Amino acid sequence: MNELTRFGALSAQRTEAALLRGNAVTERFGLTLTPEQCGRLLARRASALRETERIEPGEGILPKLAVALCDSPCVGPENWEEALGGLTELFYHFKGACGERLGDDELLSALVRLYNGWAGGCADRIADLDGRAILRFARTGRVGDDDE
Amino acid sequence: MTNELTRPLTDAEERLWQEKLAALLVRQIALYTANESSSVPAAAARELLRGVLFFLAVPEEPDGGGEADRAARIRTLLSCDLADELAHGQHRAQRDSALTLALWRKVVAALPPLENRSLRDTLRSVGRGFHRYDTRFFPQRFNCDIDYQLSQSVSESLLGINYVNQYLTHLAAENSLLTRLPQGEVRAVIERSCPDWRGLLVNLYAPVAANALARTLLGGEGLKLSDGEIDALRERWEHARPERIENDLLTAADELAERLILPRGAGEYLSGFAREVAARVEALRDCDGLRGLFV
Repeated sequence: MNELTRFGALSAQRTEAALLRGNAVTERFGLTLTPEQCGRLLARRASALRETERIEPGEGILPKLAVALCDSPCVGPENWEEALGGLTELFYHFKGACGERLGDDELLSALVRLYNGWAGGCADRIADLDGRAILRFARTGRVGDDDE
Repeated sequence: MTNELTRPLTDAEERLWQEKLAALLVRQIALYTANESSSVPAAAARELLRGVLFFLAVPEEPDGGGEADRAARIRTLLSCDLADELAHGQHRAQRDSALTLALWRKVVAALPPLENRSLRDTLRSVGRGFHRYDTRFFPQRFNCDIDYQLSQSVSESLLGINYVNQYLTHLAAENSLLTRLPQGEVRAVIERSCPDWRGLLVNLYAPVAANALARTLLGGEGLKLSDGEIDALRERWEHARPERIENDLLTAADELAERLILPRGAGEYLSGFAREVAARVEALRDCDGLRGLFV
């Protein structure tokens, strides 16, 4: 299915445009992305999709993630790109790890809440969780036996 | 020979096609996930895309030959609203499913009284497949087990309901002949061809049709052929040109179809079978293989 591989390039163009448009929202928090940063984020996204064997032919989750994360107490201009890239990778990982049982908005909300709260801005801490933990957190707000 | 419609797509046409197709796949993914997800596992995406191409009647990317058809179809679609075309394709799949179900019922009702397990299991499995046939997302998949092999196989380029429809059409053609011949003689030929025909995955039509063609050529009564009659055929064709062998068998097919009052499709099927028999006669005549072809 050669079309699927060609869709990646089309999707990247649309996503980059959406990210740059999204600067209008995120810049209120002092956060913007340059075209070069967008390029790097799109490369990470493409790599994450490949590794998790997923296809996302449209704009996808990155622009939504930027809007959801821009008011986070754990991000600033110095780590804005890394935060977006790390959470994007986690997003695609957990879509599969949660057995496709979490919709985009649910999972996005869960990851942002974890990042801002329990993980304290450390995406690696979230990466140590498994799909069941994320499902439980998304549904109950609890990570294991700890309150969120 | 290429023309304006069938020549390879230009880069601009290819880009436009990719954009329109991607937009349609985004839509299908949204519908498939009830708007919950913008991404799906690659395997699901592949099947959703195959479904889209099925609905749009675009051949899947061919290995060789067939590119002209694909280019022509895509070129026609470039000026269309693909969402509309997809909806038309879904209606077409639903309609074809209903028509094929009706065909399945006819085939089941008109089965020859031959207790072949794989034939009955296959028809049962096909019947169950209609309940699960998905005309929203995956029309290219019709889940059933087809164990009973036809004497002339269905093209693997046909997918989903199209494959099943062609399979049942061919099966109906085969059964048309089998039910019009004396049943005792039909059984005798099948028995000689394969004693365990009830349990094995054998085609019932081929030995009967081959003998019926031979009997039409030779004249006389009954479907079974004696060793002397098979020898007579071998002598007849020993030094004959391939065209003569084919002509003999095609003429026999026409006569047989007329005598049995076969429906047109069954007559055409018999002619196709006659061509295959002619090719096998040519290959086998030198090594006394006609005794395996005719029984």
